Formats: sequence, structure tokens, C-alpha cells
Amino acid sequence: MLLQGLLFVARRVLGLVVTVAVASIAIFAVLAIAPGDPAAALAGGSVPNPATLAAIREQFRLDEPIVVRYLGWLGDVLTGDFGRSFVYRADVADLIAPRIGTTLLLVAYSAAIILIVGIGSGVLAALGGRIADRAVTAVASVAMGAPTFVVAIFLIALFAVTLDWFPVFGSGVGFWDSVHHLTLPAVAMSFAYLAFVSRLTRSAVRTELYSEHVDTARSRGIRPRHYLMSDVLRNATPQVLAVSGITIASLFAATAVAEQAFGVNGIGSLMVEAAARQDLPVVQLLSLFMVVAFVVINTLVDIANALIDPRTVAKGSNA
Amino acid sequence: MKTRPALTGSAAIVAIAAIALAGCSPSSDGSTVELFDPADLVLATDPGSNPVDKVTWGLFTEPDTIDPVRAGNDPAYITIGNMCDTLLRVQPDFSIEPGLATSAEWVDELTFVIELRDDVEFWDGVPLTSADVAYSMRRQADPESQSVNTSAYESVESITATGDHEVTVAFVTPDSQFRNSLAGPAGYVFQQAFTETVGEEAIGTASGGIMCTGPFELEAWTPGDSITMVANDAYWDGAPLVKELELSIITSDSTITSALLAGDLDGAFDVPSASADNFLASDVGTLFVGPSTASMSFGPTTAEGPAADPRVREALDLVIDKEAFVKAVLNGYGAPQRTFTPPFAWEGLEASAIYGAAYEELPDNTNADLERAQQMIEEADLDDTELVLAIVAGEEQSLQSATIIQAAAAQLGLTIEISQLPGPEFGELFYIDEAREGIDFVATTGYLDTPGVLLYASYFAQTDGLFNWSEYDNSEADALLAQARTETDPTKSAEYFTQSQALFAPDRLQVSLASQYTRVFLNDELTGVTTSFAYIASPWALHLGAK
Repeated sequence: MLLQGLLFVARRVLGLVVTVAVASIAIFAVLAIAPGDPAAALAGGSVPNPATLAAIREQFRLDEPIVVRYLGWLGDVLTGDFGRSFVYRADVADLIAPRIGTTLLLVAYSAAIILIVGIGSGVLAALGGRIADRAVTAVASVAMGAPTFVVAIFLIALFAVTLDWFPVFGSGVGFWDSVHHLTLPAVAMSFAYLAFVSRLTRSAVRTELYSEHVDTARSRGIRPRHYLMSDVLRNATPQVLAVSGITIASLFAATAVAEQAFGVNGIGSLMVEAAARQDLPVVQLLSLFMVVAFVVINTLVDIANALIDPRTVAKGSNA
Repeated sequence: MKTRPALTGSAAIVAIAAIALAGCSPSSDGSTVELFDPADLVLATDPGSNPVDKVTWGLFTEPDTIDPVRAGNDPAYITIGNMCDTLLRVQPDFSIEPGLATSAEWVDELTFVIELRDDVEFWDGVPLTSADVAYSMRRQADPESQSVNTSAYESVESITATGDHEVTVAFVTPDSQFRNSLAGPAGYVFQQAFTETVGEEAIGTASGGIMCTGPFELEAWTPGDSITMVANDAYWDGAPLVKELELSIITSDSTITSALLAGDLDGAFDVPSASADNFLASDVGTLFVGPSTASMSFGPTTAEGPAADPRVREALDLVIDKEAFVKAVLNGYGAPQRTFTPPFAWEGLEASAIYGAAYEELPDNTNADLERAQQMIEEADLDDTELVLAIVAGEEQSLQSATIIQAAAAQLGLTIEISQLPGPEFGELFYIDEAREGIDFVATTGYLDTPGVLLYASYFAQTDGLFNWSEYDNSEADALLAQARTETDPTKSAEYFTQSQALFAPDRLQVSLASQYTRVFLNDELTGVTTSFAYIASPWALHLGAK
């Protein structure tokens, strides 16, 4: 059993490495063949002098073949040198380091809201009777359809400008100030995902609620509180966990819109700025970072599911 | 040509509504957009009289560098202007006064002498020397340093420190624009020792910083978040009233608007004109509108087909109602413009009367004249009536302009396809010949950061001009432009220029759509900020303070 478990983990980790490796090639190639000359971005908004452009190309090795550039980049990344930003002429690591904490806190905050409110409301809708179900479904439908930037404008207008409970922009200094600053962005980001997780939890719990063994329990007159926890919720957990994992993993990408809208200085807004200005080293590294975050979180979810329900190890989950 | 950063966010929604209404101009709430009255333009608000601990100012984009030599966009200029001094200083009315230099004059045809103040220190207390100035100018002139200001030094042969407080510039040919350039980004001065110690790689970055003599000293640049500066109490032109100036980077239009209206930000330049009604209604601050060199135009990118035919360009100019354009695209915050050189570029110059009189002589392109336009198209007898207009993607003002141009062209039987190119690809149009293949026109918003009239003319009208893609060839205009360049007497130079302009302007090497005004929002507790476009290369917060 232990050996089987270790093999399972090893397989998942290998899959992770292969996925990231393939993704790194794809990211590098797609960005390298994208139209537009990055040297132009470096020359500022003004008329580039050919000699200035040549100096920039040389400094950033833009004239070398793509394979050489990829291998050079990969070697550098693996040895901890993340390259230099075309636009800011600073080390990419120096650009990411001060922002990563903010983004991680924002994602964690948002994930907490999604999990607590999403799963809670989903369970409530499944078990709380008709009115609760209808109410949760209606709110979730609206939330699911609301784009983050629209929610952002609404939240700022109401809670920052009119009520003045939260700041309009910024990332905050220190933990509690950051939490204060990140509340509106986290709520805005959670909206659509929260509705999704809620709907999914509801149907997962419902499915279990009407499954054969629960039917049997119910028909035997066993009271709900005896089988709810042990059977219904436990059996619904892997499905909910898998979906939550994907949701949280994709939150990293969602930070792009939310951070931009709330003037939060994080990875997401850096990604948007870098992409708009064709700052390849930054876009490449952040794309890779997002792939890694996505794959790692999904792998962790698989392993967690395996711990909850060892049968998935034998089946070889593909979540 | 410098292009503006893209506007994003909620303004886009407003803009889409405006496009549909181009031509007439009621705004979405049914009220009518009015043209802003030029009599209400403000150059600068009254100087502050009381100290302020901290001012937080909004920046729409993060500067990519604050190295005065490499900086090439608005946010960088807005940042550097308060930290570094130029040799001459542009005033709010775009006139030129002494700066670090007490005088900067031609002493003979090929020699220009700069006399420096003797009481200037860098932030670190080290006195400014003529060696620093010569070093700064040489670095500005050197493409190896990745300078964006090399063109200002094109005719320069050598730069020498000829005394403790004197620098002499020798020229290959005289250049009448050179003195003006010293009041722009090409005239920024920085410390030699600091620049060399930090090195070319790191100078002007968030970690490397800069060392200048300006009224505010760089305190910290937190990437993505803010740039903070503190008052330089030993400043030679008087210590600023603001103790700490924080430039906050906020890339969303709607967020910066909300932050200004909520009082979280004290002010910002270039606020979205689409939100003007909100700013005007605010009881937190005031919207100031100032004159600018920013202008919108489109011009030919090919020497073949209808775009290269001056009659077609004139017809397009005649068919677009410029007042309707200003109302629809700029929400009224601008004015029609008769030629590509915007009046504010020369209004502060010594010879402004000559430029002004000549400008008034140019054909008035404000109102549409469909009949004459159709006549011109008939005369042109075109084989091809399908044209491609390139704009930068993601900038709704450009898209609106293009849509208006498209609708106007349709009235003349011309079909215009709009090609939206991402920023870097759009940038390539300007210096890679192949990138312009299949494109007939390009529409841009540009601005001049330095007083003077020669730049656009040398790009568009000169036979060997950098952007003369239609291969316009007018030897008489060329000769006069060359004389305007080499004649260092301002009056004579203005006469040559205006004679040349009278020849090339009717050929619409750019179809000028509008001059744009600056829009500056300032909290009502503060005053003393530059509100004209002079903020782009001058210490705009030097006199900022509490009322």
C-alpha cells in the first residue's frame, strides 16, 4: 500500500515536471515568434535611432537564434537567474519579489472566500430545503455572469467612494493593512468562482444524498445527522476538492483583472503591463509561474484526494 | 513622434457610445457636448503659500526608466521633471527661461556657449561642475548610451568644458533648434561620478536610481507601486513646499478617477476626458484645462496609390468636421488645428508673432466642405478606392478617430479598412519599411516635449524626412526649411520656416484632426501646479503647496 502510494506520488510529480517542461517550450516559442520588435519597446515612445536599437539588441541577445535563446534562458532559470526585463532594465526576480507576497495573499484570501462561502452555500442549497435552494441558485446565477471588472467598478463606487470603508487602490503595508486593502479585490475576484463552486457543491451533495446507500440508510429510518457527515459529505468531498483545486489554481490568472482594477501591485498587474509592452522575459517567467502554480495545486489536490479515498490511487486519477 | 499610453477600463464603454454619435454630438445623457472655451485655458494655478507634508499624485503607467537620457514616455517625464534640471527651463506658457544655465547663446555661426550657475549642488551636496554638464550632454548625444535624445545633437561636433562654469558646443552646421532643445529632455543634467559608479546597466532603474540637482530628491522607487521623492531643501531656486511627493502607479482609468474623486489621490495629469463630468461635479477638487502640443492626425505611409496624392488627403481633410471631431473624440477638450505643427509649440517663442500671422494665413479646415472634397476626388480620378488605415490597438481615442475617418471617406466613395496593430508592431511602422506594406495611412497622437517648429516639418515635409513615406518632394520648401534650421537668428529663422510652411501645408502631409488640451485634476486644498503641457519637462510641483 505504501509502495503503491509512493509510486502514485512519483507518477504525479513526473507528470508535473513533463507538463512544465512542455509548457516552457510552448511559452518561449509563442512569445518569441509573436510579431513586433521588442527592441522598439525598449527605445521608448520616441523615434528610435538605428544605432540605439542595435545597442539594445546586442545587450539583450535579440539577434541570436531562438533555440540558442531558449536553452540559454532555461539554463539561466534553472540556476536561479530569471533574466532582465526589457522594459524596466531590472532583474525579473527584483520585479517579482516585492509583488509575489501581495498576490499570494490575494489568492489565499479569495480562495478562503470561495471555499467558505461557496461550499457553505452549496451545502445549504442541497440540504436547506426549497427556499434556501432557490435563493442560493438565484444569487449564484447573477454572480456567475458578472465580469470581474464590472464587479470592481461597483464595489469601488459603493464601498470605497460612497461608504469609504475600504481604500480605492493600493496594496497596503503590513498584514492587516494589506488585508484591508485586498478585501474588495478578493471579493471581486471570488464572485464568479464562488458561484461555480456553490453550484457544483450543491449537485455533488445532491447526487450523494440520493445515492443507493444513503437511500438504504434513509429507508431504514436512520436519522440524517448520522449519515450526512460520514456518507454524503465525505463522498462528495473528492469532487468538490477537485473543482476547488482547479478554481484556486486559476485564481492566479484572475488576479490580472482584479489587480489592474484595484491598483494592486501584484503579479497579475505586472503580467498585464509586461504583455502590453512586450516585455518578453517578464511575460515568459510569469506564464511559467502560472503553469507551475496550476499544476502544483492540482497535484496537491490529487494527493489529498488519494489520502481521503485511497481507491483513487488504484484507479489512477486524472484530475 | 511620441505616442500616448493606451487608455483602458470604463472609459471604453463611454467611448463606444460616443463613436455612434460622431458627427452630431449629444452625449449619452442627452445633453450637448460643448467645445471648451480657449479663454478658460489655465497655464498654472497660483503658487502655494503653505507647506504640505505629503502629496500623492496619480501616474497612469509606470516609467520604464528614470534615466533622463533613455526616458521616452509621459510618466517618465512627469517623474524626472521634478528631480532633474534642464539647462534652460520651459515655462508654463512654453517660453524659455534660464535654468541651470544663466545664459546659452550662439557666439558665432558654429559656436554655442553655455554659462552655468555657480550655486548649484547635487542632492549629495557635491557642487555641479561644467564637467558634469559636458558629460551629461555627451551622453545625451551618444546612441551607445541608448539615448532617445540624439537628434537634438545631430549637428554637434564637440562638447567641451571650457571653464569652471562654462561649456562650449562646436557645430558642424548651425542648428536653430538647439537652444530650444536645452529646455527639453535633451537638456537634462545629471552627475557624472554617480552615473559612472552605478554603471550604464543600472542607471535610472528602480535599484540604480539617479543623481540630479532638482527640487525633489529620489527617495524610493517601489516597482509597480510608487515613486517617492522628498523636498531638496537646498534647492537653488527655493525649497519646495511639499515635503514628500509620492507618485502612485494606477493603471486603470476608472480606478484613478475614483481615487481622485474620493480624495485618495491629490491630483493627476491627463485624466480621462470621458469622465470630465464627474470631475467637474466634484467638491473634492477642480479640473483644470491647459494648452498642449499634443495633436491627433493621420498621414500617408506609401508613395503609391490614393494616399500619396495630396488631392485625396485634402479631400479627406475637407470632409471631416473638426469641431464635431473634437466633441466626439475629445469630449470638447481640444480645438481644430490647421497644420501638423501645433500652435502651442511656437506660442512662447520670441518670434511667435511671425508664426501666428502665418498660421492664420493657412486654409481653415474647421468646417466640412463636401462639395469641394468630392470635386477634388473627381480630379484625382482614382483607380483604387480601397485603403488601409493603421492605428494602435487598445486605444479607444484612436479607434474613434479611425471610425470617423472611415465614415468621412465613405462619403467620398473611398473604402477604408481599419487595421489595429499591437503597440510594438505599430511602433515598427515608423522605422521598418516592410512593416508599412499594404498600409496606406497611419493615425497617431503625438506631442512635442520641447518648444520649436522644426521637428515635424523635418519628419514629414523634408524630401529626406524620416517619415516622408509618400516621397513628397518640394525643393523650394526643402531649401527654406534648411535655411530655417541653419539660421540662428530667431526672427529670420521664423520667416524661412513660415515661407516653407506656406508651401507644404496645403499638401497635408498629415491631415490634422485636432489639438488636444491637457486635463489636470487637483485637490482643492492644493495649488501651484503647472497645468499646461509644460509639465512634461519642467519641475511642475516646485510651487505646489497648500492654499
